[in-house]
Amino acid sequence: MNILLLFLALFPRPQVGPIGQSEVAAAQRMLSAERSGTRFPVSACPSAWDSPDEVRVPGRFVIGFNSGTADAVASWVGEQGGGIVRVDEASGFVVADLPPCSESPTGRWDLSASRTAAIRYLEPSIRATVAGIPNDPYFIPYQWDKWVMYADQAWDVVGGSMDVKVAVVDCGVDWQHPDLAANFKTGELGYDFIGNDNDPRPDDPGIPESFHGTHVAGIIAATRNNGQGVAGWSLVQLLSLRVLNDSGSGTTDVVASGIRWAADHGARVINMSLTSSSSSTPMEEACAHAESLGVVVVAASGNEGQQAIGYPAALSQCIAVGASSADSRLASFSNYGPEQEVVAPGTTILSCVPGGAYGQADGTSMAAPQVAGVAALLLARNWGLNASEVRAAIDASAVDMGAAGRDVQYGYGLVNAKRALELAAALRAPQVVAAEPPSSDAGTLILRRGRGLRSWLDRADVYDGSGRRVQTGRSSLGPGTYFVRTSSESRVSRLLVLD
Amino acid sequence: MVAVALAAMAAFAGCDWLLGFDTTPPTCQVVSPPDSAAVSGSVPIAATASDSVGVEWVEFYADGALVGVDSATPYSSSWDASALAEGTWHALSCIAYDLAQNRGYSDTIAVVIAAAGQRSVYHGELSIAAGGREAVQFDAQDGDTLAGDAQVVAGGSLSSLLWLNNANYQKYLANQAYTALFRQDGFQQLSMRRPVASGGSYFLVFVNSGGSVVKCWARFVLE
Repeated sequence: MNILLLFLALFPRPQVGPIGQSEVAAAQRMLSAERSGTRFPVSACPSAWDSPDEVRVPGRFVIGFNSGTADAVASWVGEQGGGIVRVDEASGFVVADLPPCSESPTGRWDLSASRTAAIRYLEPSIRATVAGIPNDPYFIPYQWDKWVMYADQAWDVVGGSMDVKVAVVDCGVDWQHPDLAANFKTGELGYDFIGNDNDPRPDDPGIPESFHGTHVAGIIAATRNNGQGVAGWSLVQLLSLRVLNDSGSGTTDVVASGIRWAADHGARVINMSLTSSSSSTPMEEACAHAESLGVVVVAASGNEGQQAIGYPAALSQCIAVGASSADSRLASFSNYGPEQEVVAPGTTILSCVPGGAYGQADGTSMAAPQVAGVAALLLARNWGLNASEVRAAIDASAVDMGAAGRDVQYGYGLVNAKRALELAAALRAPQVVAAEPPSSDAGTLILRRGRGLRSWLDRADVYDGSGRRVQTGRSSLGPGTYFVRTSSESRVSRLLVLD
Repeated sequence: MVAVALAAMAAFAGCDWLLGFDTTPPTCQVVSPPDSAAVSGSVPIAATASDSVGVEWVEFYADGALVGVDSATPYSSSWDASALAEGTWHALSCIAYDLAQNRGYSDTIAVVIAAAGQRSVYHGELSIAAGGREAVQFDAQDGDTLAGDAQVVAGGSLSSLLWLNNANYQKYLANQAYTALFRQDGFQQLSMRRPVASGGSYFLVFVNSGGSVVKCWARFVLE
């Protein structure tokens, strides 16, 4: 079991401002986030008002008012314990800082219709940025890897969420790194299986290989648009599982313990930038356990430059990720083989290293976390996606490289974050997949759960396995087998709801 | 008495079909593609089937419609998914028949149609020396569209991006008059999208006639 270190060049501190930012800034400015405005009257606090999100300014809101009612809105803001930041009479809105909707000094915000009659809409203040290109000073000119995976276009859609837990099963992460600290929650950093404590950092940053876990974590989640260092893929809650020592070596049974810990603590994505030439029973069982809990498991294909994918990447539960190079080929060191699922950039990848520093590294270790980061973005955009859907969206939207279609070198191709997001949205739509092969029984309808499933079912009578009518109008259906009678046909069909 | 003994022997020997007693259906399983796989074009399907006596044939179904029959191992067929919309789910299953015409139904697996082919022309970075150029060669077919972005990240701006067919690329190399299918001069950022009129070998040429190295990111696809 070895980490996949090939090359590490420590980076100098930034000496000059970001290159190219002024030119980019001349391009049109645009709002980079979805609008989440709420029309009044309302009766309760939409969760969007209070939930953290990197595109919203915490606690700051824009309140639209009806002509001539600015004073009424200003007094309402004061009553909720807030303060006016500025008023734009011409546009018809005020900007105000407000305490969380559910925790104002007087309890909840007063949303009674009579008190809020002057309010047209209320929405969080959305940060405006130059389209897609983050202000992290190293993004241009170093982070080609994110750009060729269409990160800038993906970030126009979604920036991530602390609700998505991503586990880095590695040699430990410097969770105090200033570009990573925002992704960790105190008291839930992960676990150190080497030191058997709750501080999953490398012990001795002086050992050259100890940078590895921090570098991987930075690729996934280094804070974007903080004017500092590099941009990672997604805001996430990171969990560090330290299963390898500072030199990057360990055993697969400890890796298995790390996988299981992550899966059992709510990780939705597990990244393993580590490889072994042979599999082991505990690792296989741990990966199967993670899969059974719906965890997206991503692993590096290995750095021997040979036609043999290492373990755990070669296991069916894992997305095996090979490395593409800056000259748009398979990196010379990248393993390949029939299990290769996708590729992502893995040469001259700039990311975080312990001690608040930055460094470039090469390896399939750097490719796997790109895919883990994209998976996290997909889940942040749509929490309801299951692991198969995340995997299908990533695979089916990849940019084909090498031989046409899936091939042993590149798998499905280079991951395209923007198209993966688009496809994931389509996958989630409810679809009658099929009727089963003709038989004497009525056919089976197979449905994927989706946003509109409930409204589809509202037009049908659904029964559970014991013949009881299921109230689909009020409760959404869990995975399982049901019987359905649609209004269009009177026969009863078996309905299998997949999740 | 003899008949009973024969029947008992036949059943014991697994030859009960001879006497019409075989009521055990075969088992059948789709083994490829795997469940939830992304597929496109002509999709090979493979199945395993077994029976206490013998499997006579295996039928393959896609979305409930028969797409193929195979009577020899390895049981396989293919399914044309080329006309199906990307991102839609489809069901694959099989039915095995034994000699007594018992049917064994497989579980149904779901596959998703991969997004319409996007082939990489180049996804990486280019360092173009002062007074130099870098060419990316690719093959395209009639009906393709070339689409992509270039972003200069160091060294000022790029003098030109040219899209040339092979004949004009050779003229360009020989300093002869040439015709570009697309040309943009003096830029730091560009997005382009052009149909490919005929199949053949093409070149994207990044030209730097300035005095310092220009570093440029490029992501170009054929759709």
